[in-house]
Amino acid sequence: MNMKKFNYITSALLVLIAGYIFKESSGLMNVDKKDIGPGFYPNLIAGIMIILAIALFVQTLRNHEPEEKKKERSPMAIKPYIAMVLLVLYIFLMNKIGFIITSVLFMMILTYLFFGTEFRKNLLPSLCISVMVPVGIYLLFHNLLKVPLPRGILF
Amino acid sequence: MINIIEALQNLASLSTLLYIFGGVIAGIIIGALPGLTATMGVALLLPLTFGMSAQNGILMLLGIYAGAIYGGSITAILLKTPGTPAAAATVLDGFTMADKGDPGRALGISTFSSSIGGIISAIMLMCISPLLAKFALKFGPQEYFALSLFGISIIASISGKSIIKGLIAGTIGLALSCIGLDPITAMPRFTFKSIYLYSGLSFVPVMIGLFALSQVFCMLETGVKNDKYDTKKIKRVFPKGEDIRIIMPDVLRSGLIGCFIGAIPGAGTDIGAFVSYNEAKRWSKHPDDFGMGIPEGIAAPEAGNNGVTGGAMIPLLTLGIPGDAVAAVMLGALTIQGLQPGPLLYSRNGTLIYTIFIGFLLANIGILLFGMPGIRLYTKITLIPKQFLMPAIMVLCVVGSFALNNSMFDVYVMIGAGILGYFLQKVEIPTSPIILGLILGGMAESNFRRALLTSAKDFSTFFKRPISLAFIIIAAITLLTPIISNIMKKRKGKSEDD
Repeated sequence: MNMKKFNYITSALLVLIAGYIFKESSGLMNVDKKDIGPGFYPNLIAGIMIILAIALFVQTLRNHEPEEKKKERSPMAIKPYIAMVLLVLYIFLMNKIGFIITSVLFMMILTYLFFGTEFRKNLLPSLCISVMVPVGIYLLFHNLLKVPLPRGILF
Repeated sequence: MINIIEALQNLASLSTLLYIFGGVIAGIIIGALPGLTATMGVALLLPLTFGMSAQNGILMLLGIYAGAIYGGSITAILLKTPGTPAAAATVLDGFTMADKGDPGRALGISTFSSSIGGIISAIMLMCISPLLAKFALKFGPQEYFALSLFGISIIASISGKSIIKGLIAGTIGLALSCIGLDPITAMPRFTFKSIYLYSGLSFVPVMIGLFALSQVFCMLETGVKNDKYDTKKIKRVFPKGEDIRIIMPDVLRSGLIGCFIGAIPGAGTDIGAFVSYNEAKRWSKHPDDFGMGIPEGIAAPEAGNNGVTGGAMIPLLTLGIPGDAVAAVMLGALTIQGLQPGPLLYSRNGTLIYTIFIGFLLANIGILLFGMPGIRLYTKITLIPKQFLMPAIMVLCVVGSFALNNSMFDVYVMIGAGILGYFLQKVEIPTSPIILGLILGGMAESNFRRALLTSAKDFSTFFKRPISLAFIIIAAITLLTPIISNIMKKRKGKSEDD
């Protein structure tokens, strides 16, 4: 994927969002005759959004500067997506099993994700930190700041 | 005067001083770690202030801000990687001097200049902002609308490589600000039938997501690099009298320039540093030596970027308009404490305002007190492998946004903002205009409609009042200048081809 394609996708998405705003705002009733109504401002923003989307599209179209050569798709590129899925899973499980256990597991897996092949060499410090950080955060937030973090079944 | 005396009494407590200086030390470490910016640090540690008193919480965050902007120079000098974007200009002379065998001297100069630059900005904040607040008392909805328009236009046009993308980011923020109950008629808009969205998106989870979580995703993709540095190479840190004499004029000038730039909404610490560096070069008798590792080349950007910190607080405290992303987080912190920044804050909470001013001054002195002796320690901490740090930051993002209302919904908002921020960075759309659009958008709309209500839908009301007209004209100029100059450049380029 190069920047040109990204730009086209951005323009298209912006037009879609603006369309959605137009559609939603048209359903908003104006109850006060002296007021310009709740739909005016969102419509204005949606209008500006469409102008900007067209401007980006035209600018990209007319830009003939040679793109830098396509980089080899790095194997790292998938990692952020894995992290996103893990994060959602982490939040979901936290409510069921509790904050500390899920956080320790989450941190272990993410540390592994960050280290990659070097993980084995750093196994012991990874383990220690993955346990210490969640426990520390729990003590700080739960006991000191009185934030009721999900305790789950084990505590 | 009575305010100042009461403020001094407030500050004469051990716990308040601990919060200020603790904030400075935490800030230095955060700033020194490449990949952790000042904005990220302030956003991540904001949840800790929820349970504190207003003055302790705000002062701790200000300490973090000041410390982080200084801390960025440590790695800029030693490792050639600026810890924060604000320290990018410091690399030029700072790293060169350290590379030539004098890292201690470079660090000493940067610590000294950062501290003095920050002190200058704190004094300016104390002198200028009460006057501005008095002036702003006269502002009506027309002026506030024009002002928010001005803020958004500047922010969008100077952050990021392309002005269109900056504006797109600003517009996304404005669109997000429409979510929730309409400010005049309380009609639910874009709430997707969820009651959690009735009061609109909360800023704090959005900020944590955009500034902290998205950064972790980016680091996962690019991979992290761990640096090595032998701290034994750092010798005498405190600058010699001769060095101080050479850099003093540059420090004073840069502090003032930084403060002025900081007061303009949208212009942040990185711009303050570069402008100060260029001005120092222009005023210098030997401009060609810049970049070769001379003291002035370190002093100017460092005094400049810390000068911005106080300047950025001026529009925030007097008008309620955040000057940059960190100020936006500060706005969140103030609102959580139940304080509405703006001219009325000065008459209602005069003592608190002066406590903040003097505390901020102390934070900048703290840079000198804790920066100099601890420099080897901070350097060692920055060498901790970032693989351990990043997962911990993710957990903190989750806990921090949960702690705001003890609600899981805010955590989902934070994750959404983080994912959005990651994709936007891929498309090279800057993220800070979004948050400012989100904050200023609500302000723009309610004042826009209030003005039209009183003028019976007469749109010319915005142009009939001089201050409002002035802000609208400046906003139009900022938006149009880059576009026109672009077209001119292209024309010129074409005629040269023929």
